[in-house]
Amino acid sequence: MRALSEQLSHGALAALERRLPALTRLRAPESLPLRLGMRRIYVLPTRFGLFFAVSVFAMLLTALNYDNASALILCFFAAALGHNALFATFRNLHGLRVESLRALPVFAGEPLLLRIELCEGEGRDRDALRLHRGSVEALFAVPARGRCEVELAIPTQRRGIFPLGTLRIATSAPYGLFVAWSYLHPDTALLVYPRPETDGPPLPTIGEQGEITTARRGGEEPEGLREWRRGDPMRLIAWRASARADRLLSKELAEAASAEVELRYEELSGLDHEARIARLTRWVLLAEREGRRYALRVPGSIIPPGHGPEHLDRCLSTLARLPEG
Amino acid sequence: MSAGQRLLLDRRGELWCALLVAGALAPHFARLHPALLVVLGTLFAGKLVLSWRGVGAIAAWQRLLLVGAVFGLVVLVHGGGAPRDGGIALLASMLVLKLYETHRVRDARALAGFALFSLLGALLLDSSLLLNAYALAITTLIFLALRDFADLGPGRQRSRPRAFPLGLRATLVSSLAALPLTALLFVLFPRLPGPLWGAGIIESGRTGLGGDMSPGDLRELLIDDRTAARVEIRAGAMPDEGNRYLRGPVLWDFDGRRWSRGAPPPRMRSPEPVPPGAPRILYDLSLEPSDRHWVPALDAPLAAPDGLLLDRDRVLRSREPITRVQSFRLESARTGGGLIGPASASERARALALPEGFDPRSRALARRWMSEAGGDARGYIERILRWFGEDFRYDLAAPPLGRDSVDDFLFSTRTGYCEHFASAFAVLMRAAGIPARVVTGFHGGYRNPIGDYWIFRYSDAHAWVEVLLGDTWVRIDPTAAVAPERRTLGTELGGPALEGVFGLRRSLAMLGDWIALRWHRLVLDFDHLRQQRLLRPLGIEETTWRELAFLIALILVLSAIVGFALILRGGRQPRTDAALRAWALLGRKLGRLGLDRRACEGPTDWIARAAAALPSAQAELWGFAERFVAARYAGLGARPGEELLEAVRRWQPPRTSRLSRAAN
Repeated sequence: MRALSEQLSHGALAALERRLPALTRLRAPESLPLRLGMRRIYVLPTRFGLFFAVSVFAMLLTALNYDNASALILCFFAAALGHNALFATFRNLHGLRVESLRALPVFAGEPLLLRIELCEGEGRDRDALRLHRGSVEALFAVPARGRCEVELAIPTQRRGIFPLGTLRIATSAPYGLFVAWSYLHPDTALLVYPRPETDGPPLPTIGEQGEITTARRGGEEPEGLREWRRGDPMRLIAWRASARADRLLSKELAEAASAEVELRYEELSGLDHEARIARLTRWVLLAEREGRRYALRVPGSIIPPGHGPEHLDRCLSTLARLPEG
Repeated sequence: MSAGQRLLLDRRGELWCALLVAGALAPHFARLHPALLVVLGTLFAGKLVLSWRGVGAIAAWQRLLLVGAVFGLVVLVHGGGAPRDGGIALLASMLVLKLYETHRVRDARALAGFALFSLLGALLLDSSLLLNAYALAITTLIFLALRDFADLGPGRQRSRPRAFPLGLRATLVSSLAALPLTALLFVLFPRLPGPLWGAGIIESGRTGLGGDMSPGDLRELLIDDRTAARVEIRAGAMPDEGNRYLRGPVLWDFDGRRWSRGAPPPRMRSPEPVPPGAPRILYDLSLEPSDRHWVPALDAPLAAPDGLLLDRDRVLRSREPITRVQSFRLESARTGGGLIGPASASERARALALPEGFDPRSRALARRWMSEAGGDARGYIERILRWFGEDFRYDLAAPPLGRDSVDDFLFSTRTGYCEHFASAFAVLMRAAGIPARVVTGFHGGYRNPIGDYWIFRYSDAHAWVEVLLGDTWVRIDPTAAVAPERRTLGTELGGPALEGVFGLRRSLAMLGDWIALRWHRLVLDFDHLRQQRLLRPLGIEETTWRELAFLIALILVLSAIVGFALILRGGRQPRTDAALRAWALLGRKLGRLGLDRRACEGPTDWIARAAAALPSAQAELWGFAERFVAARYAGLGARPGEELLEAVRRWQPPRTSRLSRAAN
């Protein structure tokens, strides 16, 4: 019954929004920052608002029936307060600015921590705001002339550009009689890396031409020092030597040079598309952790050998964006 | 949008609920049986402790037990009483018990709705200005609580845990803003022409003049100093003190103990004529609720206004019981009690009837004295009044009377008050063959100098007798023969004796009564007719539902426009930052010296240039620059900017030499 009524109201809303595209939440994604203006805020009574209206109406009938002036005054006062609540609810949302939206990339299956920054510039405390995305909800308040960063942990399933879809910012404050809401459709692109294989073969190394051999572990003993190169992991920096030389020097591990690894999509012929991506993801992470230089070759792109967070991100992003099998 | 569905209350929310229940029930306390009041108070305190300790729900069987016990108590102590009090007791019990199952935001909101109903109930029973103000204050409190409930999120989170009370100022402002709309709705909202359902169910619980009288009935009334009726003279003069009677029901029938109105004289016959030449008086009578039909009027009302009936013996009755303050514009003839009664044979017989087998000694006495007076009714009446004055005592603590109440009174107790005297006197009249009827009403009253009107209190309730002499009903007040000063009894506020210490208190009481009267006239009397009179100048002749609905829609549209205009005004960019305004001002001041800021310059570059040109003001200028940067970028709030603005305002740029200007 409730599901039906919700379905009906959603259907009606959708129809209305198709008729009035200017008001619609179905409009194209927009870029931040944006201000919640009059034309994008919807207000409807809540269930409690309807209960309140019915109660006041019943009280009004009673007062009219007994022709009791002071009872009438009480009814009209309650009705007037309810009427003011409509505007108060609207004002609680109106003029709020959505400044930015960001999230660090996560691996598929991990929750995406969405951070949305809101900014109040009109000198009113904004209480009891709710940000929804699907069934995920966060409760927050924005102080007058202040900012607030809201976090939403959104579950992810698949790699790739995360379809953020519609966010709903709503409030039934101050009195719970009305709910005002607005839809946000930010165009911010959020990336979800592929889920790495949990357990798999170790990192391949390139021995002979094109052959994959199992790599020996890179020697931990420093063989010598070389100039620090962009991308060298922190633990490779020879701090003492760097201090003496007055420039950054990196330890050169015994196998670091020889253990440059190229990770190739085509070599993993025994697996399906997604499994290959998962394995490549794991290898990329492994190579990065072991401080080795690695290259990635997938259909459509070749990433030359490199190392470091930027390189890692580039590789993972490339893997994330690979078209579906 | 199912917010509030499964949201749970926190401790603060539960305490809010308790506060609402206490606030909404407070006006009913006086109507609750003391035992019930104690039990509910204990339950309430218990719930407070539970909430404070953070104990959640009590078990279902415990709740059930509580409900059973409390409702049992209600039936026990209120079962036999007035249904109104029983209803209030049930309402109060339900509200208090509801606290024990209020754990969710939804329950709390429902409770807020019930609290409103409780306030409505209180106002239906008592429409005083004070209670009305209280109800509006509690309504504001309810909205403050709603605000608190709306702040709760899943898992008892709050968006602003530390703010308490949340939005007090905003809620107060909203309440103030609601007042004009309330007033408009009150003036314009169409009233029902008549009740939709029986309006008599709710009794005011006030005492009033009954349609009958037996010794002892008025006693409660006579010690009640509350106002019963107010009279504002519009034209003519108020009768002097001895003749200031508000004439209520006339009682014709006597059963040995009880005087009753019986079947009122048929209304279709014309009312008893008023003596020609009697002066007229036009006045507004406003009656406190009495739950009765009687409208006691001065002497002889000439006509019945809408909604009232005029009986043949010139008793005014309302069609509906008077359960709320009501006012009537009346015109009376100041007859001094005399009505011409060419009573028909049946009326005369009724006014002479005495029950058989009661009061034999009184009847014998009446016959003997009448014959001794030689049939002269006036002489006989004077003898009785003289007897009353000599041998009888006025005392509210009258001893009880036996079966032959009049015999007991006349020959043994000889102590009583108006009822005893009126009853005994009327019996003595009838026994001597003089038609007589008992009248109850009010006598005396006092003038309130504030507002210049007359106040009759319940303690002014009185009973007297009308006897038919010749063809005229003549008012005879036997009590006056015993205690001419009886009007000072129990009249702590009205008595002339109590000046001095009580002077201030009395003045305050008079002021309070005047405010109550204004409240009655301005608000409580505002009905369909007054609404029409008010709207006529606006071109609305007939206030039909349709036109008023249109007016109300118009008001709502206008208020929506005002509301949105306020929002848009608030939504405009706020006044420019004080620091920026200070900077602009500095720009204008330096601009006059040809040192205005170039678009490409940052604040520091500009000041460097200005300082170079104005070496004497160097220190101040660099000070401004430093403060500007701090105000703009250090995030210290609005204060530094405002201080800077003030400093720049006070700053006088030095008079520059031609040279430095040229150098620029």
